Amino acid sequence: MSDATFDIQSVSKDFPVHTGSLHRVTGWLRALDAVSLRIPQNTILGLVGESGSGKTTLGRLLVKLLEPTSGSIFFQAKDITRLSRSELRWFRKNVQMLFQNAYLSLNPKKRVSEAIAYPLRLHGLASPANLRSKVADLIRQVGLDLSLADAYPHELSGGERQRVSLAAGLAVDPKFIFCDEPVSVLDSSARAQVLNLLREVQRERKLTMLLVSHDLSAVEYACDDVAVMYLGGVVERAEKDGLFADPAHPYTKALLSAIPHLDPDAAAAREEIVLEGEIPSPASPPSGCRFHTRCASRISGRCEVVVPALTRIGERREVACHLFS
Amino acid sequence: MTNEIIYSIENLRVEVGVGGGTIPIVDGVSLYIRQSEALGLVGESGAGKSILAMAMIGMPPQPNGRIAGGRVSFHGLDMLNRREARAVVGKRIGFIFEDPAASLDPCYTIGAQIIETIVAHEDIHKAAARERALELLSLVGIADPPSAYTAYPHQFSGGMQQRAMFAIALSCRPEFLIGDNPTSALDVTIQAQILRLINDLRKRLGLTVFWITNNFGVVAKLCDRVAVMYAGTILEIGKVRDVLRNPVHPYTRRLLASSGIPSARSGPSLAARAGAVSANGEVGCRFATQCPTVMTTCSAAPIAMSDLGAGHLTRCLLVSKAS
Repeated sequence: MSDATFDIQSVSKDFPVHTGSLHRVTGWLRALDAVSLRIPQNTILGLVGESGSGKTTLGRLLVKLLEPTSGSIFFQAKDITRLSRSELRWFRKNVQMLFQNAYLSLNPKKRVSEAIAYPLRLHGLASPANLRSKVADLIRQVGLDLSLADAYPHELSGGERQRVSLAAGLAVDPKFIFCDEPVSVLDSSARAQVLNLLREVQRERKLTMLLVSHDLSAVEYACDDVAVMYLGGVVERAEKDGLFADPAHPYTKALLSAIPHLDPDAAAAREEIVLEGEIPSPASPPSGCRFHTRCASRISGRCEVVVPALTRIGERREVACHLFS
Repeated sequence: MTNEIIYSIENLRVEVGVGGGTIPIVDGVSLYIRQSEALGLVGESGAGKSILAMAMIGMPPQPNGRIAGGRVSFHGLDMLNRREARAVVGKRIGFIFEDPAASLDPCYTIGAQIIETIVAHEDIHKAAARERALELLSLVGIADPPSAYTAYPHQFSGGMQQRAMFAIALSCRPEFLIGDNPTSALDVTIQAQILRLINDLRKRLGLTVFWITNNFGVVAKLCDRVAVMYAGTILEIGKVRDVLRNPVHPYTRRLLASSGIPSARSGPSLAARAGAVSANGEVGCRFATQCPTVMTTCSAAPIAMSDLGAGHLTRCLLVSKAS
């Protein structure tokens, strides 16, 4: 257990539902339902699923932007829901986040060099004398030209802005980075560059990352392991190649079959499982297995009633489905 | 396959004023689309794809843009003439934008916005228009049409908003549909549903489609032909199979290599470009500054399209030299 950077144990998160002009709480929406997940050291775990499946909520719990309703989260064997002030400072230094849209997360009034220097100063990691050289090192590490050090965010392209955000995150030498849809606003070649950079940085610094994305090809390209989420629960967790070659859970199968194929013949030959409708509302989730309303291989009398547990079915492979138990 | 040409664009040029001068965003684009055909357009952001799509319905870019030359005709109608375009856009031509949240009016219900289009173009009673709107909502896969009809856009998820946009675009039973990257913000499962719907409409009603996308997988699924755009010009066009299997232009090759579709597991790293989309308005090949096989003659003079047969054309000196 000690080799896990993050160990999430049966974590649930509820959000209040407000209605009416008085904004009273009239119900609770369960965004995450008893999720258990381990993120091993020195790996990139991809988290995929449709919008509304709870991917981002889970990531935000890990970086303490949200607090869990129940359950516990351990970062390097420390329960992050009970941190003292000094431990919190240690945690903030070691856990960083890369946001989806760097144009919104970078301060428009701060130059590139200032954005990168800020976390260094905040954590007292550089003296005034070596601040400049440290910032220059970081700019070079993320593959940017030093001439951009004095640029403002609006003068950069989307890919360059994402690199600046990464440099600012790396400045404090973290152990873990939560990447929330880091390439979804970029076009294909900038996307390729940023994914390559994330991989490189991860290998060099032996970082652990959680990469949330609805772009399955990005996840396949960049990650070591993949967890698939549906409606607040993890339905399958596997090593990347195994998952993409031979998905086990009916939902994973449907999700992968929906990726448009590049080869016109292969696209025509392949069987496509089209899911009907949208993901049900998490405010009133289906009983039993949450996927049973859209599942083609449903076992009636069982799937609507019993919630399937995440069970190990092979080397580095877990699935939550009655077909496998 | 040899249906009549219903949409033709000849030598279209769109300029935007910057500082004292102007920059051509679309520079000499010529395309045609046949009845019941689906033509895809791919290219990076900044290539001018959306500007081209807007110019196809006679809209110049705002604020400082103008359509500086060329002809766009739809069934012989001059689409650059505001009056002629207005009669068909929304009715015979449906248009879907990339960002549904920016296209839907937050102050009106989904139903009111669908009816608005129908009533504007057809002499129809409101009750009949309502019936049609409900039908459309269920056609685009919205689970509970009556409650969706009275809902406001903010009550919809992104996928549902985009489906409402499809309902509006399809409301007057258009024969031609322009999609400006309409599925890029959707989950793959919802995207698959939408693509299936469009393919179904093509088969049943002979819908003609012009589809802008960043995703070659979508092209393979939906389109018959595909055009590749870069810095305002078309660099390669041909049947989807020919272009995806045997891309000829160095830019098409790089774009395909960087698209990172799971089946293409060959290279260790996704191909990434060195610089940004280069300056518009250069004399020769726009891609010359970044091309791995650049020659001194590339930037000397404008490069003509070379025909490789079977409607596969490309704008590259390597090809015209060989033939």
